[in-house]
Parts: sequence; C-alpha cells; structure tokens
Amino acid sequence: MSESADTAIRPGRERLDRVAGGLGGLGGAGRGPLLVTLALVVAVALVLTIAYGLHDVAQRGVNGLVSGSYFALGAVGLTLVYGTLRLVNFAHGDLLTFGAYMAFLANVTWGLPIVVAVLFSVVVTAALGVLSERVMWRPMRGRGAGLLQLMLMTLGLAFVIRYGIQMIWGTLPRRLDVDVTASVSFLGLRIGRTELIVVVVGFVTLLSVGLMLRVTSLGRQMRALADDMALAEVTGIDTDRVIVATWIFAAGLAGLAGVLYTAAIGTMTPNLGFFLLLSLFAAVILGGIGNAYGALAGGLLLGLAQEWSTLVIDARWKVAVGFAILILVLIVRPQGLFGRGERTA
Amino acid sequence: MYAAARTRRLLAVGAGALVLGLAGCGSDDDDGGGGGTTTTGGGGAAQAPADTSFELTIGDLVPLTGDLSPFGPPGRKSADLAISQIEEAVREAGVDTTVSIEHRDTESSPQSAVQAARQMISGGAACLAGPWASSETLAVAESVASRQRTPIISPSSTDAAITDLDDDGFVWRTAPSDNLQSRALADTVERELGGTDFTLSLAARNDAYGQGFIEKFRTAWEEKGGRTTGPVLYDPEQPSYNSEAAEIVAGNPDAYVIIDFFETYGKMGASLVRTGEFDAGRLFTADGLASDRIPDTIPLRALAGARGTRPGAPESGATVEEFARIYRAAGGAPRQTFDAQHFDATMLCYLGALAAGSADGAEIAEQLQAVSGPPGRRFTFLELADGIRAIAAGEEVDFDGVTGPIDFDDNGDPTAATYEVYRYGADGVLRVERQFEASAAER
Amino acid sequence: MTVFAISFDALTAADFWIGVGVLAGTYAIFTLGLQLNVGYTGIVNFGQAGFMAIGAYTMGILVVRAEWSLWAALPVATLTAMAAGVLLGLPSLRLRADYFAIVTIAFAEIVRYVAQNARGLTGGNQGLLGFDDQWLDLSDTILGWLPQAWQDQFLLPLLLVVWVTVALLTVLLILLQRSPWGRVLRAIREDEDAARALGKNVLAYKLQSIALAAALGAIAGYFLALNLSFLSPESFEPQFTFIGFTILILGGLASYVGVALGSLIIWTLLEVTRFIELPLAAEKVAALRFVIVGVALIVLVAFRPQGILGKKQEMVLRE
Repeated sequence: MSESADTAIRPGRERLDRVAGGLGGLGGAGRGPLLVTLALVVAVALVLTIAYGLHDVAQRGVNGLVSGSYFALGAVGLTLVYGTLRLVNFAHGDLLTFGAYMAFLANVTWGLPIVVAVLFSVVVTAALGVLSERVMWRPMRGRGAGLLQLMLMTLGLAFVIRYGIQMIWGTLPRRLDVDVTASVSFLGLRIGRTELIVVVVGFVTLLSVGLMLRVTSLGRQMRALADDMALAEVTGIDTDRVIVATWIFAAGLAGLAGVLYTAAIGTMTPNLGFFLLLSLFAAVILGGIGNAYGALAGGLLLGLAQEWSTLVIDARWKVAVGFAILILVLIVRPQGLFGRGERTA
Repeated sequence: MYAAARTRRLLAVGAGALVLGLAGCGSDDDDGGGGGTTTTGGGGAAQAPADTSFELTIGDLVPLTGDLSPFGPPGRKSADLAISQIEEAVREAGVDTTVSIEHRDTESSPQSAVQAARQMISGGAACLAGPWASSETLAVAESVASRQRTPIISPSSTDAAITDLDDDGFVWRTAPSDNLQSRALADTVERELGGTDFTLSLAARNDAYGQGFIEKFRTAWEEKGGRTTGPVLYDPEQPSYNSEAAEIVAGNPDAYVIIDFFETYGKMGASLVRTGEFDAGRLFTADGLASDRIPDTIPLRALAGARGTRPGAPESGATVEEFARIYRAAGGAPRQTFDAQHFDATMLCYLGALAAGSADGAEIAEQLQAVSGPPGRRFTFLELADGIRAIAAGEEVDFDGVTGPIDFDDNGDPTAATYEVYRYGADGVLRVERQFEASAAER
Repeated sequence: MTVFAISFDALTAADFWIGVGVLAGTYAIFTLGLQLNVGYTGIVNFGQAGFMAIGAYTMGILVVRAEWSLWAALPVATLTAMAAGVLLGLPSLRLRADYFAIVTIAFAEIVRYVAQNARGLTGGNQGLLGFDDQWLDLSDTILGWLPQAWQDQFLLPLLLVVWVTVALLTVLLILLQRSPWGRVLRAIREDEDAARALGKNVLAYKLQSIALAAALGAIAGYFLALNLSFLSPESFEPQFTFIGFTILILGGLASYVGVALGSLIIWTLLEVTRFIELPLAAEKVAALRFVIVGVALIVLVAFRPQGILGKKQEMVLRE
C-alpha cells in the first residue's frame, strides 16, 4: 500500500519497467520457454526428417513459415489491443479484410502502385481503429463496461465492417495487381515471391514492434498501461495518447496484414478476415496474451504444426491439428508459451 | 418400415395428404423419389386444356451471404431473367397467368435455408428454385419440401445422396448428380489420354461437392483399371495451400484431376503454379471451374490448357448463346457456375404450374417430370410462347433447358445429360471440343 | 416508389412466428447453458456449439448407424456430451478466463472438423439423415390432440415441445440456483479463493457446471436436428456460439428468464430483417440485414450494457 502511494508521487523509470512486465519482451517469462520450444520444434523436425526426408520437411517448414507469418502479422494487433485495453476484439479479422479492400481501392480502382496502396491501406485502417476508439471504446470504458459487454460490441462491429464491405464490393473474389505465381528457389526449396516478401516484412515489422515496446518511452508507457491502467494514470502517463497510439499500431498492422495476406494468396472476399480470426486468436493465446514476440512465436508454431502435420495425416485435418496443439500447449503451460504465470486464475 | 412411418405422418396432416400418402406407399420400391408423383393419375392433366388463370409465386432461394455468397447474385439474376422471359412469353401467348418471384437469402447455412424456405411458402410461394448447397437442399428437402408439399428445384446440389432421398416427389434438380458427372469425366480422361494405364493425382475442395465428386471419380477410374493418388481434400477457408499443392504434384503423376470452384482455386491454383512442377495441360476438371474465360482472379498458368467436362446443351448452342446474350445485356453480376441451371429451375417451376393449371405445390410437383421430358413437343426458352400455347391447349411438351434436355427421371434428377468436353486455350478462352451424351441409366 | 420498406404481410402469418419460435426456443436452451457457466459460475464457455454437435451427432449416429430407438439414444447422447464437458474442463478449467474461452472454441472447432472428416461415422460433408422417424410419429400424435384449426401447422408440436422444455429447464435451473449447490456456484463466481478457503472443491463445482451446460447444449442440438431433419457440420460453426453470447448479454447476465426473452428478441430481429426491401442489388440488401443487426448490437450494449433483465451489479465478470 505504502509502496504504491510512494510510486504515485515519484514515478521512476525503474518502477515503470517493473510494472510493465509482459507486453514487450520475453520479460516475464524469461528465456526458458523459448529454449524449450525451440528444442521441441527441432526435435519434431528431426523425427520428421528421419521419417519423410529432409527436402519434404524443409519445404513444408518453409510453407509453415509463410502461413505462420500471416498468423503472426494478423495476431500482433490483436494481442496489443487485448494486452493494453483488455478488449477481446472479434472485429480484428474484419480489420484485415478492411485493409485488403482499401488496398484494392487504391491499387485496382485508382490504379496506384502497390506500394502506395499498402501505405494507403495502413493509414486508413489505422484511422478506422482510432475512430472506433473515439466513438465506441473510450465512451464505453468511461461507463465501466465489462469484458463481455465490450466483446459483444466487437461482434457487432465485426458484422458492420464485414457486411459493409460486402455492400460496397459485393461477394465476388477480388485481386490486387500483383503476380502471385512467381516463385524464388534456393537450395531446392521454393517460396512464392510475394510470400517471401510477406515473411520478410512480417519478421521485420514484428521485431521492430517488439523493440519499440521495449526501448521507446511510448512502448514503456503502453506496457505500463497493459499492466495496470489505473496505476499508469496515477503515475502521470497520458493514457489517452497511449491508447490512441495502441490503436494506430494495432489497426495499422491489421491493415498491413490484410494487404500482404491478399497479395500472397491471390484473392480476397469479404469473409477473408473472419476465416482467419480463430487462427489469430490461437496464435495470440499460444504465445501468451499481450506479448508481441509471443504472437510471432505463436503464429509460426501454428503454421509449422499445420503444415508439418500434412506429412503425417491428411491435409483436411490440418486446422484441427493446429487447435489440438494449442490445447496441448495450454495444458502443459497454462499462461501460453511466453505469458507470465502469475495471472493464472 | 421407414416408408410406412412416412405414410402415417402424411395421413395425419390432413385430408389433402391422403392421396399422396397412399401414393407414397405404392412407390416403396424406389424410396418415393419422383415416382410418387406419377401414380396419382395426375399425369392426365396435360391432356386437357389447362386453366391458365392463376397467380403463381416462385420462391428464389440463393446464398447471398456466407461461404457460397459468390454464387448468390448471379443466381438471383438468372431467376429474374427467367421471370422476365416468362412474363414476355405469357403476354405473347395471350394467357392470363400472373407470375411473381420472392427472393430469400439462405446464408449458405442449412438452418437459414430451411427458415427462408418456410417463410416463402407461408408467403404463398408454390415452387422453390434452389437452394444451392447440397447440405441446404438435403435439409430443406426433408424438413420443408415433402412436409409442406412444395417442390424444390435445386440448380447446383450435385450430391449423389439427393437421388435416393425419400422425398415423395418434391425434390428435383437441374444439375446432374455427381454419379453421372464423375463417370462422364472418367470417360473423358480415358479418351483424352488414350487409355487408363495412368496414375492420376486427385484433389478437391473439402465440401459436399468436391469430396463427393472426387470419391465417385476415383471409383470410376479404378474400375477402368487406372491408378490414383490422393485425393487431397482441402478446406475452402484455409489461408495457405502450399503443402496441399506439393502433395498434388508429388510423384510426377500422368495427369491431375481437381474438383473445385473458382473462389478456392484462385488460391490453390497459385500454390500449384508456385511448386514449379505443375502443368495445367495435364489438368482435368469439371463444371465448377468452367467459365467462358478464365476469371482474372485465377492465375492463367493454373488453368490455361486444362480440359474438363461440363453439362452442355444438345445439338445447337443457340439457347446457350441467347442466354449468354440476355445475361450480358441485363448488366450486373458476371456469369458464375450453375447460373443457367438456376434459370432452368425457375422456368420449370412456371411450366409445371402451367401444366397443372394451378399454383398448388403438390399439383406442380406432379407435372414437373412430364413437362421436362418426352413424350411431347420439344421447345426451349427461345420458343417459350409456343410452348406455353401448347401447354395451354393441353398438348404434351418436353422442355429443353439452357443446360440440356433435363428430362427428369423418377428420382427428380436430369436423366440424360449432354456433356461438353472443353479446353482452355493459352489465351484463357474456353473452347468446346466435343459433346457426348451420358445417361443415368448406366448406374 | 418505395425506397425502404418491410413487407408486413408475411409477418402476420402464423407460420412465420412458429418458425421464429422454434429457433428462439432452441437457442434459448443453448444459451441457458451459457448462463449457467458464464452468468452464475464465471467460466467463459465458448465451446457450447461443440457440445451441441456432440449431443446431436451421438443421437444421430446411435439411431442411424446402430439402429437404436430415438428415445434410448437421447439420454445416452446427453451423457456423452456431459462426459465431453468433464473431459474438456478437467485440464482446461485451471486456465485464465480468456485462455479458457479460446481453448473451448478450439475444442468446438475440432469437434466440427471430426464431424466433417470422420465420414464413416458422421456422414461427413454429406451429412446424416433419417434419425427423426420416431419424432415425426410423436409429432403427428401431438398434432392430433390440437384443435382442428391448427392441424395444418406441422411445426406446432415441435414449437410446443421446445418451449415446454425451455420452461421446465428454466424453472429447474432457478431452483438449482437457489439450492446450496447454486449458492456455492455464485460464491465461486464472486470470489473463487474465498470459496476454496471455505473448503469447497472449486474444480468439482466448475466441472459440474460445465457438464450441465454441455447437457443443455446437447438438448438444443436435438431440437436443431429435429427442426432440420438433417445433421451437417455447417450447422455447428462458431457463429452459433456467438449468437448464443449475444442472447446472453441481451437478456442480461445472471437471469435465466432473460435468456428466453433475449432469444425471442434476437430471432425476431434476425428474421424480420429478412423482409427488408430496397432498390439495391440482392447481395447488398442481404448484407445490409447483417449491418443492421451489427448496429443494433452496438447500440444495445451502449445504452443498456446490463441487458434487459440483468442487474448492474451482476454485470462485471471477474477477471
């Protein structure tokens, strides 16, 4: 009691760091889980290699990295919003869809180059995120709405975005002006050119977000908020500014994920994000809620598990395998791979 | 036992059910099916001049939202086109039928399809064109069509299970069963490859259409003595198909057989091309991937050179061309698989009612088989007014649809289907190479 | 020319409301299970559609494949769903609420993939037919008891049975809630540690709660199956659970009566919006329907977050 009163008066940087545990690095969890996970993945890869040969395992591994980066890129915004604002955002998948259609608008309807379209899409989707914060989430937080009530609102918002898109662009598949069939070959492994771009951009983006959360003062403030909003407020953080920043990151990244995903797989429909949503949640939970690196690791693990499973059993089971792995991991480690244990109920 | 239970149920529904309940008994041998309709003596209605002064509401059940939503708008547009053709011909033929259409969204879900079907029937619809997905059709067949004594004509449910439904003659379809189609494709592959001593790599989207079709194809091909690998079944909602694509091309098969729709194949096709081993020239497929031209959402190299079968029109392409023309002229949604089947289904609803001289579901159902097939004067929608006059005069007719002669069999399936073997050129344009007849009798 | 219209003719038809009533009753039973878990025990069960699928498919498989009587299959299928609830709860109930929610969705999805891909058992994509003959016989018998004027409403028996079941289950749950057992559940929701300190086996109570919810899910599954006469994997998508939660929050947390009310309102909204007519392309009007549903949800939560019959003090779920 006296300690927190003390910090209220003198908000020290060390204190902030101590408060802000999980959101950024692997802080709360330490390196143990990372090493164990890596060891397990390597062990699985070895066993599979003995059974199915190096080339197949490596190629499916590459495929797993590709779908893993879709999941990771999509999941990081979800985890940021959830970690910071305690908002289980069922509309997040539809933010991806929105991003994809914004890129379609710029790239195909207006004929702008794809790079410009990506930027446009990120900016507009981020704006949509901020708008939803201003119009819905901030007023609702002010009224002290509960977790479930907010969740229900996100379901409503998801409907509005998804079917709003269908009202404007219809239900026929659309595509961006990119070549999805070109592929790159190295060491006998193949990866689509746009897929390679997604993997690289995905990794760079996620590592920078993780780094941003760790080193910048904004990142530290976001982590503080994630840990205890009331306390963060008392320590003099401009919570409103930080929350808006969180939405800019989360929605902007969702927009980016939507465009990159569409550019890599080739087509988009208004259901695109909704179909991905459960996998995104799985990635978030697998990695530990509120953890940017966790989302990356969770997404990659999910992707690898799904694609490697196709070596062993029929591909039609691969989604179920992903979910089964999620349940198994949580049974062993209830807080997710990189979540902190102390919050376990 | 099963049929007996049905009969009791029908008896209890009310006096009107009595006649058909007994008819259901009489057709135990073929599980009801369309057979139940012919034993009631209703077939004679076409011989007497029909009463043409009735008001008919046709229910149009298409998936406008959900997984199958890309099919909905073209389907609905086809139904509207059929209605405007009918209205024009009704004026020209000088009969005084009033035809209207009600539209409802099935949301690609069996539950919503059932709900929508019930609502349209309570709103006065006497015949339903739709629903589309086999799962929707199975649900509506069991819980709405036979119980509310209203025929449904699905344009696209190709699931073989629909043939054997115990539906008292209320379930029909203008798309041929997978049984027929898969054997037609197997024959085509044999002829194109010049034998069956080949290994085919099989794949399909994991739903009632793809999986049902590819399993039947595998049986047909293996009966011919051919070899297969797979089938690789892939979930239509997946974000990535690279591993599935790798499995499809593995082992350098002599040819591929892939059953899919355009929406999923946009993603799967890109993955196949990226493997670097895929050659669309060795790909065989079916009606799900047939279109006048490869859509721009499909990478050209994933489909250019591919061969396939699709239900076609007999003799001349005049009906097909005219349908394509009015479809284009109407603007709006572009062509989509099964749109012409939906057009035919809507037409048949009206022709059945005209032959029955009434807008009563059970009476329409009794006439559907008679108007769709021989004997009688053959006509297509190009001569719709003549056909209407003939029916009004009490003549027997045989309506030929845009998609083929239809000729419903006792199970409510199109009997003989004309299949076209098509091939996509390097420019992405579909060309029909030849036609052949396949008939359900073979099974 | 009318710009925006809802055609009211169909809304006055009895059939329309009977159809809405059957769906609302089915979802009410489904959501009673959620109310028990979420509203009274504080466990966020997002896998209710999975329990519903297990119940409905077990019933269907026993009748169609093993040729059991429907009436014998129902209790066995209910027990199977309850066992699944215990099996799922045992390892996962120690998870935090949000992790538990996602694990249960994952479980429900696995169940759906099994239904889709274990063809020998479930019929796979082609679905399962022919399990409802005995129900149809009973339905005819019930119809025979009703006044002559209602004889052509063949769904009426289903409607009656569904709502009698809703009423019985609601009363039963309210009584359970007032029993010592129910008070312990509530204590667990309020403060798990305190309940534990009083010597209560918290996990056992939670397992009982989830097993009961699974049974309610299974019962909803039977009505879903009897309404459609057909079982297919598409009927058990996560969407079903989302609608259940919508009903739950709308009716109000910790109110069993609110569940029935919420379900009626949601299904009236969902079905009445089908009749919207606009001079727009069909898929746009269809989409507009769901935009309206979405906006209605948002507005509702914004202006009455505790739901219709919920109390403000019951509203916040302990994190």
